[in-house]
Amino acid sequence: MNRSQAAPAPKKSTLTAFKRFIKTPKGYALGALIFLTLLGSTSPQGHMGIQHAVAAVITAAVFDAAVAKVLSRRITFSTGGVITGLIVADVLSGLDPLYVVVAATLMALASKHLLKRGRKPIFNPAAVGLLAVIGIFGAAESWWAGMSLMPLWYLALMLAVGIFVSVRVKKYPQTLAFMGTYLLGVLAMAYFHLGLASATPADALREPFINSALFLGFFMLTDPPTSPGTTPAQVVFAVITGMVSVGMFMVFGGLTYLLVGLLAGNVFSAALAWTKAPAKRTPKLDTPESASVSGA
Amino acid sequence: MAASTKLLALCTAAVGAVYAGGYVYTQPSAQASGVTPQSSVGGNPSSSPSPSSSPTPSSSSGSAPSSSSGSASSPAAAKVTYRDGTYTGSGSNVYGTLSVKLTVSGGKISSVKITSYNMHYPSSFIYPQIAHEVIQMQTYRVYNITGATASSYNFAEAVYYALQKAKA
Repeated sequence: MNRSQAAPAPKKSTLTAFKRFIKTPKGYALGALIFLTLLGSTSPQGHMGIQHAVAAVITAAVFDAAVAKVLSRRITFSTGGVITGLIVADVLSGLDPLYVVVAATLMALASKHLLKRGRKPIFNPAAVGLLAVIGIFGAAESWWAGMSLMPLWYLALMLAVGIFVSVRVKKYPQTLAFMGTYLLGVLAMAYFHLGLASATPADALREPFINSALFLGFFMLTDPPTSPGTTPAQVVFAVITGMVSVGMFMVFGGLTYLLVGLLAGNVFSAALAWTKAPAKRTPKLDTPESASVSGA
Repeated sequence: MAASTKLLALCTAAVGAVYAGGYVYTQPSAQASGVTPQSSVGGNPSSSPSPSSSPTPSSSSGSAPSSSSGSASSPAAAKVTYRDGTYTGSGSNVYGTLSVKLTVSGGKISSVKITSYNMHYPSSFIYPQIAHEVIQMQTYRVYNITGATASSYNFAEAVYYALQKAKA
């Protein structure tokens, strides 16, 4: 697996490299996000979202290249950064100014490079960037790539894509545990008449809130560097994320409850890793599991 | 392998059942708050208005006009003239607040832009289509956007207050 020990291999074609890439967790996530971004862009306000997505992708690629240059690393096209940029653009409303999208992407990537344990970021970069611009600029979210602005059958399509990706990256049990916890929590809210007048369980179970929960569960929660590796730990991580999300929704309402829940889950994931073994600055192995989805 | 696949399929079905149960259980409250896709498009100026379906600013805002006004059948009939310039207005309810900047040119509403938005639902649910309606119909009494009734109310209220400032 170590590249330095491998015999000189014939130069791979770009097509071969691409075929290999799309079968990695990053490849699946990137392909799914591009598909959903293009699909979501067919909504009436979609053209603004596409502009944001392009700006976020360019920002991410340039920023990660600049970081690599500063750290004297090999400059490559940062697919992890592109995934982060796409998620940021997919969540923010098309009505947000372009500079907010750029700022969110920059802050997301900055958190990836600064708040880390060993080579892995502690927090989901996109969630950090989104929360930062919501707090600083009062940015609006629409989760439009979660098909929140589209007819209902698009949601079924997103569900199919999400299940495919999470199964491929071996995180489907985690997604199920999150959705199960989240939905049970919302059902409990309804049964016991908990929550705010402005944030009801009925809201949480319908568009656009259910879209945002699914998008987060399929494409943000499954980020390998910021979630545990083993299935039992993944389930606990997902349950914590779901419980904190419902708690935040119940007490504060708003739209940031899922992002805060995810960061709480990330704290558990990092704490688990800390208690198991100290972080080592080892060379990155070329394994599917080490390939970050929104990290790298 | 087969067992784990069956277990995942079973868990998927269980999560789906929880969602379906929650959806059905919360259906009455969803209908009450107007978040269901079936919620009616209110405020149709050509239909007979009712207090609950008109996008008129809520009475809780104090100086806003009554929603039961019979002028809804012809919103432009009021023949109100506005001074040219740019005016701001805000609307708020339990779902949040929003502000607009409204421009009057040649005595007519020429543009409406949302300047701040802190609502429970995404702004893209109502904007820019509701702004186009304001310009097209030259009134704050616009159609509600289905599924974003509260946001539509706030937008109408914000436009109403901006127009109050613009009155000659």
